[in-house]
Amino acid sequence: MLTNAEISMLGLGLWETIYMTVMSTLFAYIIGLPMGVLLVTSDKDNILPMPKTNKILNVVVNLVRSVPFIILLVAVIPFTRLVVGKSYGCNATIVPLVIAAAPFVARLVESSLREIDKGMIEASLSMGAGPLQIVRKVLVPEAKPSLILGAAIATTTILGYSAMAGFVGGGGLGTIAINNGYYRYQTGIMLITVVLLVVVVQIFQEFGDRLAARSDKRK
Amino acid sequence: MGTPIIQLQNLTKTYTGTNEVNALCGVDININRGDIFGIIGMSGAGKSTLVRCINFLEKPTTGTVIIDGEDLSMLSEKDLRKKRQEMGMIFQQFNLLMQSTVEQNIHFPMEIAGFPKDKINERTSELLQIVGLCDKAVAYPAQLSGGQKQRVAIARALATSPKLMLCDEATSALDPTTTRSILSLLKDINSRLGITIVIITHEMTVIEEICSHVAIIDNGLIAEMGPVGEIFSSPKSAAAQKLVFPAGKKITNAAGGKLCRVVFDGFATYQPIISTIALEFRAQINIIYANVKEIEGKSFGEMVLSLPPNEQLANKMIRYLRALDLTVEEVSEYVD
Repeated sequence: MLTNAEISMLGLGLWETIYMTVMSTLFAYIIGLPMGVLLVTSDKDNILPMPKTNKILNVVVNLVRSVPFIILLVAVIPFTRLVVGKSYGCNATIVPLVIAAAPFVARLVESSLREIDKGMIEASLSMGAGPLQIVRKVLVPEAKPSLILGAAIATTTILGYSAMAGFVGGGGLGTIAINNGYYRYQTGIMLITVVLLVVVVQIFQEFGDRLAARSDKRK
Repeated sequence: MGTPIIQLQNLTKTYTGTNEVNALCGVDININRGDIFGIIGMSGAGKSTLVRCINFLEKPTTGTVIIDGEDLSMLSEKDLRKKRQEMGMIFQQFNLLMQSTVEQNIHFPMEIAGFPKDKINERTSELLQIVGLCDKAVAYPAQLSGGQKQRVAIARALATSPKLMLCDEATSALDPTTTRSILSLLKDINSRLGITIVIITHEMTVIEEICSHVAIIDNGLIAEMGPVGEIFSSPKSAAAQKLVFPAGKKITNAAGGKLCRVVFDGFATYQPIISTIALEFRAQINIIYANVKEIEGKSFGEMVLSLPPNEQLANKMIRYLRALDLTVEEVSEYVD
């Protein structure tokens, strides 16, 4: 059986994991959502054609996405120190998580927005709508169900990444799994962390699916 | 009458790409205030491009678009957007916001135009009244039928009180009964609100039902243009003849003689023409197709006759019919 100390350690780890995941997703969307919108709208036949910006943005997104997360985690440590003052713990993990997740979110947002019928954009243009109005009143609201599904994917992916940060003392369930489960051969603890991670992922995904279905007025 | 509300001058549009397409090759059209102007053509004739040039959704390669005295190419982006608020547009696929209610869809153009909130609400209930959807204000488009969706689109297009309404195949996705009700709504809007309407379609019935004028577009050029009654009774171009000819009726001419399309209007409708011919020439003629249509409040009869195989006799009959002031043309070349 688990000791009290172990239970409170797992409890704290669970809380840290959820905290890192939610905060990182939030910041990743603050950066990634406008990026995704710009990826779509700056396309050459779209509402705000800027071929050069589009090209640069695409390259940047691909560049960041192709760096393995574990490498990125270490590579950005100087920057992390600059932002949060230290290189370990939950808050420190949020920095690389956001850097890695933002371009991923941008791609998710891009694919959601591309699903929107061109006819709707044409109709908005015919009413004299400007690019910003189309983004705010057509693109984002019309893509809402798809954006919510994307957010569920982003959240669960970020959760997985956060566990990886356990290798460098990132905090949360990942750190417990590595330190206790892996280095100290406490298989029981390791299994429990894995089960907890699975449950959290399930909950996030289920919540996202239901929210998306409820917000979709097409049926 | 004054100056036309829409003046299209020598419009061309070329799509560049792997293979260049000339969608419009020099189109001139003037559309007068209060008209219901039809533009008809086969698919690929350039009619969708043409209507998009009117509100500059497509910028013409060369040529001028003058709306209500203003040359669209001279306007800044901002002024062009303002100008577009004077032109409503409806589409074949309705293009409603699917995640917004009927009400919110109608709010949309007014929000863009920056109307105050109370005016938006007031105008919305007015518009719902016009299109007959007062009970559907909070429904979502997915809960509506095709005809109802198009009514919402019409209300939306009317929201900013435009002078002009562009309809791009607005009834092509609807069944005949619904089409008729949408067309009569458009006609009503035209006569009550005095809005000029431009209708793009590939169906001659739409033109016959509500248009006052028609332009026939073929291969990026205007083949023929004029009042609908005139074009219907005596189409001159091949494209016009093809469209006017009873659509979808495959005629097998068993007798092997010439086929003629005869159009009656007004007085001639009361004369027993067929029996007179039969007596006069002592030959049989066969009525292959006959129909009466109401165009612009006037009755038009049309008939396709199969004349005797004897060419001389047939020609004599045609001359006889023409002498009665009927429009007669041979139609053999475009019967399948």
